[in-house]
Amino acid sequence: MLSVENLRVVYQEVISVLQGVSLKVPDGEITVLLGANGAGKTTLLRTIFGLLPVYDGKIIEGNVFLDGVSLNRFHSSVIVKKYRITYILEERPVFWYLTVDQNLKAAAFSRPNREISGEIARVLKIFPKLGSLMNTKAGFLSGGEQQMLTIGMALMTKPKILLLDEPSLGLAPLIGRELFGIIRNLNRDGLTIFLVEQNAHAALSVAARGYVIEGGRIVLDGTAQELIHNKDVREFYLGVAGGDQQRFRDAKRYKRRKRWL
Amino acid sequence: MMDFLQFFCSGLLNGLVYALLGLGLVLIFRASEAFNFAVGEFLVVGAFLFYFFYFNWGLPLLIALPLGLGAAGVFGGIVERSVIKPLMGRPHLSMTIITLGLSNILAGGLQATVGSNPYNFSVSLPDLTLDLGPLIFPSTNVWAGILSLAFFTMILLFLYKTRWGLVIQATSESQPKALCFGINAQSVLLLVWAIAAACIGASGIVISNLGALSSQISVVGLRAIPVVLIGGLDSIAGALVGGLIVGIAESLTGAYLEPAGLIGFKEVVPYFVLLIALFIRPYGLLGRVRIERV
Amino acid sequence: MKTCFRITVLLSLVCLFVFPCPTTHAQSKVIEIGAPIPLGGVGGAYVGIGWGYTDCQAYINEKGGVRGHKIAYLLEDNRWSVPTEIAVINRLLTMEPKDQLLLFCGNLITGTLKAMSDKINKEVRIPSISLSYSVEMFGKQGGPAKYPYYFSVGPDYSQQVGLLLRYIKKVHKKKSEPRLAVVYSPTEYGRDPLADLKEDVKKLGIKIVAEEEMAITASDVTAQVLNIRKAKPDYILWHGFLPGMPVSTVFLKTVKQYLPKVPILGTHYQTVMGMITAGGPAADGLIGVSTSVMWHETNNPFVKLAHEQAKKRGREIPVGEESNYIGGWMLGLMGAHAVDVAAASGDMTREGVKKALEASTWDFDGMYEGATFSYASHKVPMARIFKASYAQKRWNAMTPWLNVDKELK
Repeated sequence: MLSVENLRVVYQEVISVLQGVSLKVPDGEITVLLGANGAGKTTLLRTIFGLLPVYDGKIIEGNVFLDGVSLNRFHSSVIVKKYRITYILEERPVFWYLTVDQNLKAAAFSRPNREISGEIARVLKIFPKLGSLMNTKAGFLSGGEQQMLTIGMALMTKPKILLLDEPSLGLAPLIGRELFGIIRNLNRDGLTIFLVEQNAHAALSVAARGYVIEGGRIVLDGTAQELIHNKDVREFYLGVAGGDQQRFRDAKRYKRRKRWL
Repeated sequence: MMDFLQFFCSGLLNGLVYALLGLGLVLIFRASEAFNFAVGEFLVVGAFLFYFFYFNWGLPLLIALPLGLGAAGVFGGIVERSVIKPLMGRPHLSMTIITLGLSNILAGGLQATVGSNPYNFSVSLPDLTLDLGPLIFPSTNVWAGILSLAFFTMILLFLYKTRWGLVIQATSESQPKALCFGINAQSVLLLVWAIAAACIGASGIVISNLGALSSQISVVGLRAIPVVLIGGLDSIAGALVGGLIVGIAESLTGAYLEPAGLIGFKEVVPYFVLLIALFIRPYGLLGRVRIERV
Repeated sequence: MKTCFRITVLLSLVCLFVFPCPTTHAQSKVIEIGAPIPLGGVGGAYVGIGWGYTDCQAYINEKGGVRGHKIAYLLEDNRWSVPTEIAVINRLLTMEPKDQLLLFCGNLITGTLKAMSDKINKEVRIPSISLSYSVEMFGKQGGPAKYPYYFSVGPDYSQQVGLLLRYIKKVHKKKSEPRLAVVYSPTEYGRDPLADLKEDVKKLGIKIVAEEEMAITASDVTAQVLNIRKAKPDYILWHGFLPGMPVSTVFLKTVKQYLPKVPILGTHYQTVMGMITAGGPAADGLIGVSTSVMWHETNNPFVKLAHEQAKKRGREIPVGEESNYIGGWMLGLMGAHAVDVAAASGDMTREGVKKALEASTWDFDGMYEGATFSYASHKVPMARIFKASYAQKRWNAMTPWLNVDKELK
């Protein structure tokens, strides 16, 4: 189980981004993290994945544990290779100037040479469409195809835990729905998924548990069902209007936010 | 006509050397997004390392060459670890600027250790002089062309046919993306700098063999600037094209324009070609068009 | 009041240190000789010249100096750069006392001589012995009448080229008139002898079939050499290059490959040991005129002295620096000699040194092997033609010492 305990992170020694975040990602489940822009979602993923030094960030307190082992010190290459966690960036991390085939092979860097062809076959089974595109440069793929390729590349690393950063961003609704179907299927095959999303409706529909992060703190947590019925989540993330729609609405929204902070 | 052919082809042979030099810069630029202004000093250091093994120790060429290039690679790696790596995550411009300082430091170090007098540099290679009556290509020039082409091809094969080459291409495109898949971007950068330094060192050896080795041949390294800018800073094929264009332009200028009174125009003509090339394609003839958000 | 007193005491102490009592030095004045020499820059480092000066200084001072005065060569790096050298000269002129800094004796590039001609010849009037052989400064257009304070240690470039042309006439075996290709650097010193050369070849019946300028920063000279090849010359004359310039070796190697049978002839700066060490086999057979002796001529009393002194001071002269070392000794001894003569006549001033130099017939204690000459033209009229041998790593003399005043009549 991946767990984050009381994590505090600063960028460039001064900009405090995470201010004591704790959460759990149980094995074999989809856990979703909701939050507005700038709430610290991406930073949390970077911290788990050991990318903070690249962005001049630092953990000043707390720990990231995987089954009781602290991951704080590890470089991302170790985390991928040894702890089998893979992180999919918000921008689809396909290499534009490489073909689909090369992309898949490059992603399998942490795997031994002999396993690669088998892995590719496995990925093509999940995404048959990629098979016909093997020699196309990834830059020429459509958004949906790129997203498939991205997930395929992530699978090439043979992860146990997949960190997904806003996978539905910029996709047509239909493809987005398809994507969440794929995510659910992957999870069914035993992959633990930590999903960071703004599309709360879709995310909560596939997730087992959810957290809401605001201003660098977890302000709400619960099972997906609890969150879907939570009044604030409904108002802010699901877009269902709350009780008051009159002039006090803005003031009240402000007040609620204050309560969370 | 024969004249033209003669000048054209000797330009071509020189162009291959420039292409190899350009390749070193392109590799570094693709991976670190830094323009290595210390290219001239890399060239001299590489050539001196080979000089050390071949002339001082008297090792046979087939041993001295890999040793010298390996040592040049180690040198490139040391530079990357000590100078470039601490700047990871900073703006790319700062790396470019630091290579300017590095260039000065290395130039001073070379001046202090090997002095500025030339060293005799004649590698004994089988005579390959092509004497075709009106056309003649001396052995060293032919060898320069052959060796440069061989190094160039070797690096291309490495880049496009091996797993590490693929990883280098991927990392060169985007470090954050590469990190996601567990690619150790820092080792890749180290490798790229080592290969690039060996590549520049190889061209240093070839260039020294055309004349003598001295810390002053570092100025030849600056010839790489128009080469890579004409071809496109991030294009490997561009390095080849740019190198050939510069070599041929220089040769033809030396043959037809300089006797008309434009002495030293040969040194300038690559920049003229560069100007024209940039008018047509601002990112170089084969460069990728970059769209950057500010 | 107390603070005031303290400050006064402190200030006077400082003054004592900064401006020491002037009488302490009056007894044995150190004679200073300004010596800008190249220790880096485009032409390469000529550290040997510096060693020559240093050993010469030690040698003279061990003998008791010049008539009781110690000698000091003020070595400065000029980096082959005119602005740097001018700065060095100006600084020395300003800083050093007028009665101590009696002359300059060093590299003094042609460009510097040109730029400083008014200051040195009209304002400051300080004799300057240089390693420049500029025609403009020392040839027909210049000379003592125009530049009374400039001196040189050898014939000017036109005269050197003249010697080579006459050498060509002498060795040319074919019936037809000799075909000559001329290669020079597009610099002040490179273009210097051209006008005289063109007159001279007409007189001698030599045909110039190609004329190529070759930039000193060039890294590839194939085009020039191919142009020369087209002209089918019998001889190539090259002038205006230094062994430290990469282009020199590139040129030698390229010529050796495209025109293996055509001899190359050069002027003084091409006729130094550095050319053999840098050029390697490509320098074999190079012919050149030099105004200096060669390091291996140990029978020559001057060379013998340099050898003895180098040995005494434990100095190993590396291959390639010999010519420079001798050059340092030549300039050093010449300066010291001039001061000596001036002191003998009781006029130890800049003016006195100039008169001493003009009247001198000194031959470096027999360096010119007994040949006699006059120094009134402000340059030593002696030169000699050498041929490079790569196997022996030395320049072998092809002629005895030639007096240009007689040879070029």
